[in-house]
Amino acid sequence: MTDAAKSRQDSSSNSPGIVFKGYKSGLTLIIPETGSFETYLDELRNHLDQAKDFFKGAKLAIKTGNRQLCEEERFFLLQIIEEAGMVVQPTVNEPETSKKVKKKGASPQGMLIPSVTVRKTVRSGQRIEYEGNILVMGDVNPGAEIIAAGDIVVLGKLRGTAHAGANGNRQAEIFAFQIKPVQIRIAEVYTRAPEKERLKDKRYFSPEVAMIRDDRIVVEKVTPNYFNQKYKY
Amino acid sequence: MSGRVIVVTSGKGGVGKTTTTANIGTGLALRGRKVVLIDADIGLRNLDVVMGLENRIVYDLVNVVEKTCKTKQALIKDKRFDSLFLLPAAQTREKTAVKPEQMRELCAELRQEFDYILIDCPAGIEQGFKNAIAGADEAVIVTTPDVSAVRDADRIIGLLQAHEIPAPRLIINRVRPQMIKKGDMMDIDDVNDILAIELLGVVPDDEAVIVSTNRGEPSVMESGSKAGSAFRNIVARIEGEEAPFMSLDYDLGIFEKIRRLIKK
Repeated sequence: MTDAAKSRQDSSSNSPGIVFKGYKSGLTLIIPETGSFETYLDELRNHLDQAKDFFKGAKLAIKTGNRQLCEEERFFLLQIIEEAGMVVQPTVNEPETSKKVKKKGASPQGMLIPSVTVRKTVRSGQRIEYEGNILVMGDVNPGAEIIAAGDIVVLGKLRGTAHAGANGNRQAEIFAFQIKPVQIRIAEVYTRAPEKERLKDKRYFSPEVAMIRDDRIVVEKVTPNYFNQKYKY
Repeated sequence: MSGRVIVVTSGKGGVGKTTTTANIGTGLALRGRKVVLIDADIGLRNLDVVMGLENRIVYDLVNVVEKTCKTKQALIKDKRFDSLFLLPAAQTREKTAVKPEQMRELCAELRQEFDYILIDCPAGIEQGFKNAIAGADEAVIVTTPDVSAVRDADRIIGLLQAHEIPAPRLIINRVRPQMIKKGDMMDIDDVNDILAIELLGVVPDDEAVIVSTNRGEPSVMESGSKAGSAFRNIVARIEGEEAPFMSLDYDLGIFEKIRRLIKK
């Protein structure tokens, strides 16, 4: 965020109201989820009138959080913005936006993905592929491949190759009692096991999870309140 | 009478399938069982050499399945035991010369007359492997304690499951206690941890095996040999007896001995 843009906008707006934020890709207008939409429109109009030159030609993305805009509201909003000479962008690719998507993905929709259960140890040369989540009740040995469009859960040791979110779902996770794989992939990100531990197995045995964080796959222990922290309803 | 058909397989080459087959077969014959060894490694036969019977081959496995000779004619009687026979592979043919159904038929025939039919499986997972396991009731998997051999053994276990051969048993061959001690070799637990199948035996790496293999005399007959006694234990377990797993006793060194004493 460019600090200059932020301070300029923040200073002119009173605390609970619309907020402008500047990103590399352009400006983002954040309209609070609660409160009267009309009030916010008036506020926006004032804003734009005060600094016409600053806003002219700028690219603007709009975030409304959980607030659903009806056709009418959307029309007025776009009219105001266009009058000020701004270009509306459909989305912005900044961390804050992807967090919003993540929250949505974890809601009931996420639970409705079909799952398949594999009741055996998946051995070298065996490949399990499924357009959904895969649950393995057994180990996944080196040389085996598990490929899921959704999440992968292994109730045993994961030592083969696992690819979760194979269709590009970066929110997919891989759980196992022990993660010591040949290779892990989530969406298009992949990682290898450290070379050192190749011969000797890990001796500890506690649930672990692999996920994408900051464009890299991280493997960490599943703490007792892992899911509490993840789903803050 | 209905004999047991056991296939000895590994996936990876050079881990000691042929030596194991020869030793188990000879060990069973030592106990007075009627045994036939089938070399299914067509084109790369070795079992006859290890058994020292190379110069007696007239007919082979391919002749038998193509019915150019009777099964009895192709069976070579061992020079030491009257109850031990070898059905050699053809050296000048290919694996595709035999079909799985023909192997099944052959095993069914031999089963009538022998207590044990041991099949020496070729390396790999192609036609030769499919032939070798076609008629088998049981499987013995041979591996060495290294990552690639264990990986291949794992693959084989999966394939055997797919072919509905139940519960293969494992022989870990060429174990070197000194290397395990130093942490340079997978130990028995590491192998077991991945493969997770019943352990039939652990055979230490023993130079005497190389000597006896070259001489054509299986080491199971030598009472002084470590590998020989490991094979005798394996044979006992195949026969359903309880046999102790030999401790791979290596010299611990004085400090380790004292440390263990104190621990007790």
